[in-house]
Amino acid sequence: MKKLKVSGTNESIYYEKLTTGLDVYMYPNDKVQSFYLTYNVKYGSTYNDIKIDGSDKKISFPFGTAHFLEHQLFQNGDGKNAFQEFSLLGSSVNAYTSYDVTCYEVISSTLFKENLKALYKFVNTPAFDEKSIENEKKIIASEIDMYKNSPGATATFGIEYNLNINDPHKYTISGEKSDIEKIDEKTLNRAYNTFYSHENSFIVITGAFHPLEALGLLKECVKTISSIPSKKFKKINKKEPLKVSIPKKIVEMDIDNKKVNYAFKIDKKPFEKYDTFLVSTCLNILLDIIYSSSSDFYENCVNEHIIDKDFSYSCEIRDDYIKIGFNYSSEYIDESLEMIKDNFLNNSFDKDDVERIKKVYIASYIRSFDDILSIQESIASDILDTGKINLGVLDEYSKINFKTIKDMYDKIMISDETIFIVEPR
Amino acid sequence: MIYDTFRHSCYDLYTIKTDKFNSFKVEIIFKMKCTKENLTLSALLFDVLMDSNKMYKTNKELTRALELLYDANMYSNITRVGDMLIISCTIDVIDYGKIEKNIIYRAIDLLFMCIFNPNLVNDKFSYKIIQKVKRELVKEIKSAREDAKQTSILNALSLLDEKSPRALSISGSLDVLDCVSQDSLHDFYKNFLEETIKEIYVLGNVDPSAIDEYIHENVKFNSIPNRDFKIYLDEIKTRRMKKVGEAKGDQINYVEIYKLNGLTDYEQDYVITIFNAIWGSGSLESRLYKALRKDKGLCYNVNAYYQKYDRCLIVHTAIDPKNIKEVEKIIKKTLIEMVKTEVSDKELDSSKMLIKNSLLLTCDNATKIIDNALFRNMNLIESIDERRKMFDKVSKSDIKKVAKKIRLVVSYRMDGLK
Repeated sequence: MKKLKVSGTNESIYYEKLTTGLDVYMYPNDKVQSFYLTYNVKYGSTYNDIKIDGSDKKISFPFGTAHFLEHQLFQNGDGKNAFQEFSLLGSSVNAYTSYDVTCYEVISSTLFKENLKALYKFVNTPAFDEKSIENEKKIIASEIDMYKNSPGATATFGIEYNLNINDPHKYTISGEKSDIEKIDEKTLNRAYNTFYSHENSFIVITGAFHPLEALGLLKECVKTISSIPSKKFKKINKKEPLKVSIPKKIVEMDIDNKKVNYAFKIDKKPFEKYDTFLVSTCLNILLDIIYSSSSDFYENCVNEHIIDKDFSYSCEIRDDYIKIGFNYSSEYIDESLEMIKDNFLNNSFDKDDVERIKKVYIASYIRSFDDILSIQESIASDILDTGKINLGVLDEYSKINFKTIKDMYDKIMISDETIFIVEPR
Repeated sequence: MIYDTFRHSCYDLYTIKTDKFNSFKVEIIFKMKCTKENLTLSALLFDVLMDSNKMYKTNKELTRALELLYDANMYSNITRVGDMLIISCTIDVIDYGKIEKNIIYRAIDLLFMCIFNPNLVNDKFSYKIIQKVKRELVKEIKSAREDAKQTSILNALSLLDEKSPRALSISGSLDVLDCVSQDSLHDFYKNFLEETIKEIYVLGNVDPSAIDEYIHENVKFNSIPNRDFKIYLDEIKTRRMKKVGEAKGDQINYVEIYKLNGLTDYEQDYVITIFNAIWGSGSLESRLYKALRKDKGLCYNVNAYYQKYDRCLIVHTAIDPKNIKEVEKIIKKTLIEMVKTEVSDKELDSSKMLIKNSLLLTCDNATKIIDNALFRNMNLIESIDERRKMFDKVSKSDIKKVAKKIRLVVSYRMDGLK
């Protein structure tokens, strides 16, 4: 077991790769009473078309398979399910599927060993049957209806549909009702056997526990319930063009305030020579300087009623491009788009802005160690984004200066843009 | 954690010394009676106070000052507890190594500046800022209606008694906002500081006496309010009613409200919580969840919310319109079973474990630690250890007894679009 020191702090993260290839990351905190366990499979909704190494054959899964599998894995066969087991332990268990990962999570404050064992067991012992699959279809259909009734979710998924041509972010995580109808026992077994190997998974444990005890237990688990054989695979998505699919779409819903989602597609090439963490941090700092509530843009636009206080923005580095997105309410859509774009392209930030926002990032990183959920999220995103834990976050923040941000800013090229509006009916 | 109390004539200070977190949290609590006017005016007032102050004249300047203080997080929040409103103003700032000396005192200064030195023009709040905040609140109130779950629950509670605090949306009311002027808001502010009950909580690795001294020198509370306060709402007297609401979305939101009359203190503090963990809240193993979702696939989610200080229990689910009758029947059947048959040992033990665990989880969260202290200081709850012991005492017959006292008073469905 390696003890990895987090630079600039008194914190350490423990790591070991088990013989089966399962990576285990642990952040023990003896000041808290609870613990948080996550079993993460690097399989999300964007893994629809793949090729197994050594084969030319394309394997396709219906949209929504990863999410369906997440639901179905809780069933243990014979009408039993994992909830029952965790319920007896008095712990809270849940799971979620994103574009890139399926995560099974347990939070509790007693019976650490039993909870860890139960989590490992239920993810590694699937039992699918047609009856519960058919029942789950009705439940997921209800979940899909719930999202369709939500203006926020409609705008979030709508902008992705507009933005992407080939990139699988185009499609919702749960799929449509017609997609889930195509899923059966065979689909789920095939997906499980492809993606759920230990080589393609990692465990993160944070909170009140002893790393040696946790590791010993996991080693025992691995001996008792072995992993499925590892398969190397590749996503085979067509290259995503820098053009958007649909430049503008308006839908009507039963709402009072117009909701706007606006996104830029940014060419990734100029940033390829830089480390992903650096690019992501610099672009996020830049967005904070330009658009956060301490910016001139925000002050002017809110005071002039061009945008509402709920204005938010994000930056995401994807396989073939960078997405910069904006999400807000506005009655003056044309003016807001012009202001957003103009401030993005013609911003004259200075050294003080950069140093001020850097303090925000330092504080946020330090705060993450206070909360067993935040530190788990930080570790898991490092693994998913870059494949390893970044132990030098504070050092890297300290190296970022006005010049670094300005260099990045000068390289940004908006290739295309799209807007999705939800209007009152 | 070391708890200290410093009594002052106009306010009480509670310090919680702990090195559990890399941050300090300072929270000023104001307590007042819950009315539609108090709720809406407090929401407006605190958004105005947190927008800017005498030193930082714009929100941008204030936000930049907070960012320079390592992103000190300052916010206000309004919670309704039965017949009482709790308005909290909080600042949270990091405490890590040698990052900034005396950062907690600078944070307290900023928080106090917003409350005691507002951005006044000719002794009135700025018209422009009031209008800006009003506009934002109007949007927030309207947006809250887009949340089908919340809207359906509030509609059901309004059906029960539209004048009761139970039916108030925490976002405030449009008709009250419409009538606010610069003068009326300033009057409300002055009365607010005079008449509310005030408490200050400080959590972190602090020197309690030094904090008390500093706060006492800087705080500007002058009045001694009346501390008698009713918190629990009266029992629900309404008889059973059923209604179909207006169109919203294409999925039915179905709500049932149950009155909880004649409960003993022990039942309302402990038994009903265990009852509800087994019946409708708690894990995905609750009886409602199993019956509606697992066995029949009728919904994605179903939850029963115990509203202790409102003396009611609310069930909510979202379903396909064609299944409404079946859903109503199943909910009724699960409740009858709670009355007629004993819960199993497994159900009882696991729900106790779940609740006791969730109590321990609150000890790892700074906000919840302060909330626990606040409710204990109002004598509304016991210590976590005591509560864990009391939950263990709840028996199967206690649950059966409480199940018999639960009465359905409202069934409400917010229909889908035709």
